[in-house]
Amino acid sequence: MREVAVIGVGMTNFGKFIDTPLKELGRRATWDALKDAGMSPNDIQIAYVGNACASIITGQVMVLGQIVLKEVGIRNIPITNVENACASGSSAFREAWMAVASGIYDVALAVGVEKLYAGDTSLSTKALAGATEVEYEANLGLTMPGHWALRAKRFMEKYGTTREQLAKVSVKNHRNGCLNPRSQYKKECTVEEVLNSRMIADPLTIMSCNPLGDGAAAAILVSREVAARCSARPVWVAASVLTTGSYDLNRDISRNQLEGLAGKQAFQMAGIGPEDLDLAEVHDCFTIAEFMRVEGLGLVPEGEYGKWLDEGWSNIDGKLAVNPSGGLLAKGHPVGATGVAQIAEVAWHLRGEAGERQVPNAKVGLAHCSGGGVASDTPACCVHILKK
Amino acid sequence: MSDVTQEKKTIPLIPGAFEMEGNEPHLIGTKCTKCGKAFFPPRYICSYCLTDEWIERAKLGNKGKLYVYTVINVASREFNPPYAFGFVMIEPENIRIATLISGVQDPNELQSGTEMEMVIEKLRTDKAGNDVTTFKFRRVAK
Repeated sequence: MREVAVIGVGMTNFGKFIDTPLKELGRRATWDALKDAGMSPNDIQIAYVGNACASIITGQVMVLGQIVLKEVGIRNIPITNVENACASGSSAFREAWMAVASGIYDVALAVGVEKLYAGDTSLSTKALAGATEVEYEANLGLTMPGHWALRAKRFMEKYGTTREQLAKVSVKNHRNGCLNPRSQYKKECTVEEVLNSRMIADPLTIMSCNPLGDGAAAAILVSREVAARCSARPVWVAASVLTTGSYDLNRDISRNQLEGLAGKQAFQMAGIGPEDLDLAEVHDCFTIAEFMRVEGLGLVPEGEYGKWLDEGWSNIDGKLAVNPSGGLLAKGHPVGATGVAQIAEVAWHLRGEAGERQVPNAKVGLAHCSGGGVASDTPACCVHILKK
Repeated sequence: MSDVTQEKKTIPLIPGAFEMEGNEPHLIGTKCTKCGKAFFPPRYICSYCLTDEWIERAKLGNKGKLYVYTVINVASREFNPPYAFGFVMIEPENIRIATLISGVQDPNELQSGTEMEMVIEKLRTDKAGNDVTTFKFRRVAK
């Protein structure tokens, strides 16, 4: 297996862009990544494009990636569309990594692109409910906020976590989002505001849920040889893991066993431990999700993340910066774009280019994306570790 | 084309999900006769024995204990929120069923472990005027 470097990243602002077509969002992010890498569209040898909801939101099925990349002038190469719930973008990135690591290609492109908002929240909710088993759970009325509300209630029962502690995730991530020029929300909030906002599915209020939004991100992955020739500031892919749940119907849903498995595999592959991380972009689609996932991945001991939040240990200047970008809660979550946007965020920190939200002297970062809820388990869990 | 008005039908939301035995509804799943594990929705290969050799269609329990529930306030409009939704561990199979919860509006009214029973209720009327029904679980009356 060959070493793989990320030498270019790009990302649009995240937000609601009713008048901007999908292909335009994807074009901008890809063009920025090419400029960042100092490359031409002709240099790209293979591309993977992640998207999750276009089939329902805009009706674009089957050939989205090709439509986006023709706008960039990318032609006559293999292009594959990747759909894997919230992990669509990170799965596209992993495919691109495999293409280069295997030795078959030297330059690969990963793009994530999504329009989640078309002016109709009911339609967006329906699209997202597609991350459950449509003929069973979604058909009965289980939404994604509903799925996480149920997990939150079991978690709170088991560990004694309070609503105030859950809300602190949103407060922290909104504070970080204010420092990120690409963030959908740039407004601080208080615990009281989070708790008093509209109830979506008890205990999750609207400010405990990621917003609906649009955006795109792109990354260029190359072999060591190409990196040495083309880049002064490569970031290395130290681990890439993708896995799926067990779907046991009597599993304890207050734990994220799947993150445990993926985290263990990723740290083993990178040859480091959680204590070596400087930052982690963790899939905080809901406040409870950041809790369960940082603990599941082994970044924080079981049942202790409430204390971490109380003590500020996951702030940008804390023991381990969790979601310095603002995370999904503030930066936004255009589903298929998120995984690649996390890679861009980690790369900027490792290159020292993260501006006001820069994690000081960052050398190693983790990006985690998990998607869906089937048989109350997780269909897709993707972890990447990047290092300087 | 016939212009005879079609008779209103009762259509289950999930085809084949339940069956009536007299007045008692039962979920229809599968069971592995080797390891004893049950599945709902039905799986036709046992996830544990990894073979289809011992799997059989099975009438599953219609009672169980509440695992957890919530009230969903925002959903696609066909579901007409708010509504209570949760997981029930059915007995004797001890597997988790995703289900609408009948008879509660307050997300903090029922405790985990509450005894529950299955009922069949009308969920909505479809565009053709048919009644769409589904299984739900409700607290066993004391």
